[in-house]
Amino acid sequence: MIWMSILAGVTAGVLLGVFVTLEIPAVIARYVSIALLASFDTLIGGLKSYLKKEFDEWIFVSGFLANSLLAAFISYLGDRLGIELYLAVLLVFGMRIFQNLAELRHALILKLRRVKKNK
Amino acid sequence: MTKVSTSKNRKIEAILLGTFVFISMFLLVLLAKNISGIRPIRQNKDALISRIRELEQERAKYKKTIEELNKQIGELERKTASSDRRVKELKRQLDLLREEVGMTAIIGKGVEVTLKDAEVSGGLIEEEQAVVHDSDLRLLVNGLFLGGARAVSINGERITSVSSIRCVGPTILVNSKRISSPFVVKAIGDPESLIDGLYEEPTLNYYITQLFPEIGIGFSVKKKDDIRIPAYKGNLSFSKNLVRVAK
Repeated sequence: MIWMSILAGVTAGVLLGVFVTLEIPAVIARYVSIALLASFDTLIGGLKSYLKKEFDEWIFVSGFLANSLLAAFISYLGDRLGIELYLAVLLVFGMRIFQNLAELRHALILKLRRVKKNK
Repeated sequence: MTKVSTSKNRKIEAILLGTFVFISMFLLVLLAKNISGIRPIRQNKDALISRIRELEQERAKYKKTIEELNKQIGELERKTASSDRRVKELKRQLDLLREEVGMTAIIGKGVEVTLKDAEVSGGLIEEEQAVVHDSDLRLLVNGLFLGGARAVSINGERITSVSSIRCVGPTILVNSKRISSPFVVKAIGDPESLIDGLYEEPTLNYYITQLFPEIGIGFSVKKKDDIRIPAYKGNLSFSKNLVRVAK
């Protein structure tokens, strides 16, 4: 179920993105990409907690919005102040993505092992 | 803290996750498309550069044509002048005026001033300072005219009353032609008074005696007996508005 849902999300997202011609203004493209980084972290975190059966939709949705908005805002602030604050965002969310991926991997392997044992 | 999920909840959670994956992927693809849309600017730049090259070649071709046509005009004038005395007189005046405004090549005594960009060794002097600026050349040319120069050229470009010396980015344009260091400024006139003219102008004097040596810009003056200054190859007519004001 979960894999189907993600696959459907990826396919539909890519297809829609390819066919829709909506231009993101160059000024905010930077911030959108930073926000995307944060949102990917939340997605991987969400998947992980789903597999661990700890998923909470409120935590997930609020995290998705808050993280991406904060990430974009911090990099915007950095640009206004002349400090490369977006690097901090990149570093933090980059690290978190790897951490979450590692935990996801652990959860997946444990789950697969359990499935095997049950057979 | 930890919520225990029922199977119905699990379904909703999976769909929620999928939805957000969808949103993120959508934005990602949009961004990727946008960024590949930005790239053509660079291609555009290359295209513009090659277009400039093309146009410069074309201009060189037309200049040659102009020279040839001018030669023909000269010949025709000579022919008519030999037949009529009034035309002969007019032709004499015309030749004088032509020489005055810089439409003829001149050979004579004069000086040759060379300005060279400083070699940047990464010291205290910044690169911006170490190059010869358009203002330096303007000062120099004005100094030479102050010393009574009859004709001045920079790297083979004749300076006339409608010439401009200005910089565009890292290059200097004289008569809209790009030139670069070393800058050879030739002037025809009495060599002594030409050199005096250079030192008479206070700013130029300061530049030559103090600023240039300090920054490392190469400056040299040579007196020469056989300086050849080419004719102005561009268009000498003013714009229509200017003509109207003059009338």
